[in-house]
Amino acid sequence: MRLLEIKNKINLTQNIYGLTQALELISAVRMKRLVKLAVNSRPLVQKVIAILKRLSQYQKISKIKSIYFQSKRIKKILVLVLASDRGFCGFYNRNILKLAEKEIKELEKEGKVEIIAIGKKAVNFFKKAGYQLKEEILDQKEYQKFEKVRDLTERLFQDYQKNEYQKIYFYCTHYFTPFYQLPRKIQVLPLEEKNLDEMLKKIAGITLIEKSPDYIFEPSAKEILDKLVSELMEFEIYHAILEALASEEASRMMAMKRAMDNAKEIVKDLILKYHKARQFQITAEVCEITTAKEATK
Amino acid sequence: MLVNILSLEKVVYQGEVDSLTVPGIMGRLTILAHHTPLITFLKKGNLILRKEGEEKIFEIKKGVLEINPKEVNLLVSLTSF
Repeated sequence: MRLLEIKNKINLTQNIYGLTQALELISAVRMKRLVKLAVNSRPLVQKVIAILKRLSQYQKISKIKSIYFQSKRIKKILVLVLASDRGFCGFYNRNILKLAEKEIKELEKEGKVEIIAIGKKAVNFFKKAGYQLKEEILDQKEYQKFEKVRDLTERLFQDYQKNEYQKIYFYCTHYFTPFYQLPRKIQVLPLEEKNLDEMLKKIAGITLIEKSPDYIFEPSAKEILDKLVSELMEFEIYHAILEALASEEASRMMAMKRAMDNAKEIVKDLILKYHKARQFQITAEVCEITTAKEATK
Repeated sequence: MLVNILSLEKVVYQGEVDSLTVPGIMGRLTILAHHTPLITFLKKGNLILRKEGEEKIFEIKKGVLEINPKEVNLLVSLTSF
């Protein structure tokens, strides 16, 4: 009986091993694709941030002002948090949600905070913690498409223009290596020079210390500034989402790998136990036979 | 002058060129070295790079052109979005 039990356990663990292995392989393939997308868009995004920085310097010295660069008195803050739809991805969700929750508590001192949760895990987390969500976005995978991100960004910019919110933050995870991803926050609006600097340093490891040139704008400066900023931020947000998705898969891959290693270890232990039990049983049987034989003599 | 042509998918072109012709929304522009700083949008059309008599042509759907004293940046989308 004991033998059978152990055997069942071995089978079970081996099944889990197979499952995690399959999941790891799937994640690895997905990760490879997403990392490629994310890494390929990095040079563009670096330029985007550099241009935004030069624009923010430019509009500081010129007469043309764009609302996107001006901080206003804060009444309402919008926070977007991006987590995953599915579980089994290690600390990925916990890291980003912890950071977001901590900072939301800080932000609440400044003004009213509204949250848009992207991904099932984020939605569940904030609901459980008792937050009122302004919006739940559950088709997180759809955001690999640029059109979807454009719609979202346009909406954010419209809300900001209508003065619905005075500050917009976006929380997501940045991918560095399969072993290392960092949760971070992007200040979507208003754009501040020091934030742009920080972003540039973080994702590209470079610092720009150039003076803004005196730009010519075609057609008009006002038109360009408004349209350009939203267009450039679309790139930035799209990129951030790609990075986050890549991080999710990387995190899942590592979690599955750990699970696989654990399962392997357990199987090894169980097999040893199985042999011991079998040996014990045989010894007992032999012992029985010999004693029976002795008795019949 | 140094020209960077970047899209979301890849770095399209990066290097020194003699001149560059782009489809700006206000009309076609040819840019030579030491152009004044400029920002404008690009519309659908061809980018033409010239370098030592050779021409390179890229088709774009839309984009942004930024000229600063150091370099010329073109952020373009090759596919239609």
